[in-house]
Amino acid sequence: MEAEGQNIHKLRFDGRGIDLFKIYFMNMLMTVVTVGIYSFWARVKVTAYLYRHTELMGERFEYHATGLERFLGFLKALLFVIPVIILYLLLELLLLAFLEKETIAMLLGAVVYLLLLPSIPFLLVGKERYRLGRSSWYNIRFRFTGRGFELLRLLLISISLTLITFGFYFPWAQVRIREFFIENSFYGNLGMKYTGRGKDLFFLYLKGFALTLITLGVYGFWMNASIYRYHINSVQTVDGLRFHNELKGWDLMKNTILTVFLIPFTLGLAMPWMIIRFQRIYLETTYIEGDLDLKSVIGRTDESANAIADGFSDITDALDTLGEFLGG
Amino acid sequence: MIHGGGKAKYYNGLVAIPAIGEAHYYSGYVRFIGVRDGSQHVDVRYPVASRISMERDPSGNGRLRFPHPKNRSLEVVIVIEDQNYYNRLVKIVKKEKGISVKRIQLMITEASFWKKIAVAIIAGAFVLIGFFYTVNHIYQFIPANADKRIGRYGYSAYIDQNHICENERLNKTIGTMISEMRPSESKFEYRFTVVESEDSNAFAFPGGFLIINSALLEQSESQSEIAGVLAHEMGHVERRHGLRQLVRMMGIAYMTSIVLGSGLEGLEGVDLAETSSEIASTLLILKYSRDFEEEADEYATNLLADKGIGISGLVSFFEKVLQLEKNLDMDMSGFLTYLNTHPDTADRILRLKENEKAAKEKPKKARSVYFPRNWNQIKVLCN
Repeated sequence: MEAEGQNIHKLRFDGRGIDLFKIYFMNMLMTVVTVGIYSFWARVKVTAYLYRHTELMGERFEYHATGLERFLGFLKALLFVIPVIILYLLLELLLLAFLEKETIAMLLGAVVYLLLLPSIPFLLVGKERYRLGRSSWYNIRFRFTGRGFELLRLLLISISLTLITFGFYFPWAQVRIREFFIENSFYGNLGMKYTGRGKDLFFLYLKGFALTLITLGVYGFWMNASIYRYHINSVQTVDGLRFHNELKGWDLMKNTILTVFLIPFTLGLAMPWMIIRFQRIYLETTYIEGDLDLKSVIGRTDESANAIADGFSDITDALDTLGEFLGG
Repeated sequence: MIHGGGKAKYYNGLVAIPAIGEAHYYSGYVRFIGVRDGSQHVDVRYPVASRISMERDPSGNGRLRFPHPKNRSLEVVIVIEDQNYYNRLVKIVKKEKGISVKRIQLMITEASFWKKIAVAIIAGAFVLIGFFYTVNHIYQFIPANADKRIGRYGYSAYIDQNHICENERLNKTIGTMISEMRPSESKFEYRFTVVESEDSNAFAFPGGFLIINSALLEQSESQSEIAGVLAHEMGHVERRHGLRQLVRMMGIAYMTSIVLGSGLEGLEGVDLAETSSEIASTLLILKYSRDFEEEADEYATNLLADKGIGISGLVSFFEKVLQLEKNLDMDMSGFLTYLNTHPDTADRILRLKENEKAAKEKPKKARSVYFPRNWNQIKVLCN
């Protein structure tokens, strides 16, 4: 481990399982009391706890989102989704006069997928804008400036090339997508750079897959750790501060095994402790090298960041659960 | 006003370096006076209105967040590092008139964990009772047509996949028996199919669609055994157990899915939460399923008494089931009962006999269902 020197700044995490458990327990009770509506506040409470217990250079991170904002985002998304569902049902009724039920289901299913898939990058961008827009350090907000169209184009190219090359393009695709997310992220006016290269990632995957195969899957944890480290080590601010990570495969394996055993045995009550353990191994292995000139950082805000994209995700999650339930 | 000030930091959201100084409270306002970066003098004041947030950070410092006066997507933050001063501030704000919303918020955030839990448990218990009461009774507002639709769908799919016994004489005998046994107040028209199967059983789809396995007929010692089993299945139909089970499953699935993992969605370390929610909801659903079996037994006892048949046939069927369980060395009593869809068979026989004892007070009716004399010949017509 790199010693903390004058220009090495480690991320510290001082969250505790018991505290998160208290929040979780209260969240469960309040979710019951409100027949589910509290879940928006519940998520904000958990995220705020994790942020507030993460510290860099003696200063804690802060999450400014509110449950009400998330709930309103959900309602606004619902205002859009309900007419679409009604339209779908009307179309189905109308088509019943001309076509077989199975044909209509296939036809409308295809139309829905064709319309839904391109909306994914817009949702991802909307969520990232909201998440970063509500995060701060020294009360200076982060922000995300990526555009949905840009990500759509990037995803279309990445998916096509990955398919054409039978998956070989995947590391290059991953690098380009990472680059999109990192280079559109800002801390106030301070921009970020991503220096990862597809070629490096390709060899990491190649070595990883080979060893995972030989070790009957065990090396998978070490491969995931090496890829995570690679992505973090490839981030720097535009003025030269470098990010570093020393995540170990053994830590990933140990905690995954613990999760697999503890969660079913405790009917999920061990989840808060597992979350804290994972947060700790990801965050406390990360440090920044170089000195940040706080005087040069100026606050900038993204006034149109909102929770609507999260609202859409909440709706699709709910529909997913419903679908699984009806299907299963 | 609180005398003196508390050591504090001020973050304006526009520059990263905080100002260091003191926070003071005047009626309805927090004023910060300090210096940024060694030279820049800062003197600001913000109203303690309902829209501010007052919380303690992990170090115990008081963290006041005010909406930025000019930029609505920003906040200004005053961190009060003097914890005694923050405690006094909380007390004052709680008492202050005109900021009642803030007062309630503070009462919640400053209350002890155990107080909050106690209140939430009481409220949660009330809501859970209300929720499950609604889930258990909502079926009364669903028209009987829904049962028929669901039942017809399952019934036709089932008979498509099985061999049907088409013997006319057998089907006529069973048909007459079912129509004579049909409760007079029933909303459902009964349909049935005898299916060739070695499993001695019968079951009902919602809406009055019955499946009778040929082995049940063949192994019956008397027609009253079949009448007993049919009365039990009619109990499921008349009490709308299929639809009720579906509504309950949806209710339980909804509750467990929102409550378990509430707020932890998507975090590393919770991927397997679904397993526990599935275990919990399955156990609850099985409990309901056992309740329905008991309700159908009770319904059957009354129907059999009403038709002048009595429960001896149903008891004899259960005794055979019990024997089979013993032969297979299946002990479903004790803890294992919780993992079963049906109640313990010995308990069911006991309960049926108790029900009958209670019914003996009533005048005995003459049998109103036709039992042919040559049942032993008819019952094997599927072979």
